[in-house]
Amino acid sequence: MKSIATLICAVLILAFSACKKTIGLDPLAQNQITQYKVISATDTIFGAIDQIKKTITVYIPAYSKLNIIDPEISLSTGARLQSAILPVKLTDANVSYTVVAADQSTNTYKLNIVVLQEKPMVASVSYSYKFAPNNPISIGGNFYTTNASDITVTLVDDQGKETEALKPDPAYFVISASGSNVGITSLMIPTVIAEGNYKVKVKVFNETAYSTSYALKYVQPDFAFIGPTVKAGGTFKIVPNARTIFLNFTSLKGIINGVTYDFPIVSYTPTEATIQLPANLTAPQVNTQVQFIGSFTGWADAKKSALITITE
Amino acid sequence: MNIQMKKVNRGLRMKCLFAFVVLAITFTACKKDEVSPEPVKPEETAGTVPYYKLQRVENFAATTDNNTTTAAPTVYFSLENKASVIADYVKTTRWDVAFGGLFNSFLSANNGSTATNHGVGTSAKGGILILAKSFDEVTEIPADASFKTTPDVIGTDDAGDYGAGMGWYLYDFNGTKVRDGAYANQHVAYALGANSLSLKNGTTIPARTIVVRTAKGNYAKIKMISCYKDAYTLTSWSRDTPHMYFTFEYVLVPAGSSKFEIK
Repeated sequence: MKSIATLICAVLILAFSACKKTIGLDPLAQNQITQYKVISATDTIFGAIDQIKKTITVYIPAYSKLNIIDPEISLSTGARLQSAILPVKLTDANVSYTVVAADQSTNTYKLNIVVLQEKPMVASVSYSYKFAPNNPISIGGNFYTTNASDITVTLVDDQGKETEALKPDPAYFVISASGSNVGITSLMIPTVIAEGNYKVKVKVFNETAYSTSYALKYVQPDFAFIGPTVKAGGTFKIVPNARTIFLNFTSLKGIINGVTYDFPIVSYTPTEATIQLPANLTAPQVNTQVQFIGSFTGWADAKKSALITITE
Repeated sequence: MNIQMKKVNRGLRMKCLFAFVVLAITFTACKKDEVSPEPVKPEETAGTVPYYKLQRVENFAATTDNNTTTAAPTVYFSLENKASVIADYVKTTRWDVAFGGLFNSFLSANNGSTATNHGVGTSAKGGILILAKSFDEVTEIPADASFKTTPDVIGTDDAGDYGAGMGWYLYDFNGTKVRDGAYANQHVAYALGANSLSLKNGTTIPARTIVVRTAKGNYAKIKMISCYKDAYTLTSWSRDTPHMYFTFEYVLVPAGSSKFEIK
């Protein structure tokens, strides 16, 4: 009897000790992104996948020279992505991936791209003429990229109002690097902008830097050389001289052989004016010398000699 | 005694039954943990172009601007997918050949490790070179070290005007190198891929074949046939024939190959 009881106890002890029940994790969902990988020239970068928050965070070093990533994505067995994998610009904040499992359950992950870069600093702002509308400025700083599309330059006034991105003057625009310092030349100050104090704002990938404040002031309006060929009774266009804009353009007169003619301004913008040929100026005239005088309220008159040809 | 023995046997049976029940419960409760299936990587997307098959691309459109001083915006082509690739994807491994420089006529490969390459920063391992052999004559894949990785590196041939080394086309500024100098024959670009080219001075320029290591490390040989729209032979090319529309043939072989074969 005693030996039977002992045997039972031994079996039970063995049974319970051998039967170690692990409190394991629930089976993984089968609609997951399991790996997010970016391969650059120098590194393999793995995205950090948060299966609770449903986010993928990928850190891209600025030195990689990438402005776009083309990820490789691994999924749970049997799952697929709802959309094709496309390259993603580093500045694109609206990318998500929806995984569809074999059982048709879905999971959507939001992508966050963090560019690892030093906080940019605007080391220099310069201009060759004036800090004024329609004038080019040059900037320099530790922007780490010479890809113009990675850098957005705007002006911000004292109230925080921001201009559109400054556009490059294609004839002179250069972006070049010396180590981490990047210089950008010939970004044009907008033609429509109020006088005031402005900081230059530089956004590089997702980091932003500001310059010190600069006083923006208008400059004397002027118009470029005019040498139009115009049909009698017709109109012609004139543009401001380089680095100027039309401000309060009120009249344009032309003196021909001592006679002053009024050239009515049909319309104008800061960068162009449409002028009506005076009705009493008759054709034909070939290369007739005209002394033009433009009046801009609040400014001195602008004068320009030109040759005008009038056809019938 | 018998009664005593029966009592003992009954008790023993009860205990055995009890032990059996306990063991049965114990072992049935002992459920082995489920093992989650290993996540597997989905099938990698490969290029759509099969190896060892001759491919032909007609009228791959590039610039139509006759700007002789400023390079046209570079356009990109994937040999592995036989498709153009948008410029936004320049820093990816999705393209294999860039058409850059003046008139998009200077070719380069996608290489992420060369600082000046269009694809710098990516894992692309492409390269390009040109041989003075016809397409059919090129059977061996040159050594990797002989591939060039700088941008816009193969274009005008030295035998023509504005030559830049051995090129895939001959540019005839005055129209007198290949033909009679008539107005229509000036400024013609003669692709050298399909045939050798006889010049007016009696020399013959052998056909050229371009060899490309693709962004992903496969190899292609390319026969450049024309840069004129819908015009694939020399006699149909003139200064006013719409350009630049590249027509070329190529064959892909996988990385690690030593020979080009068409099967």
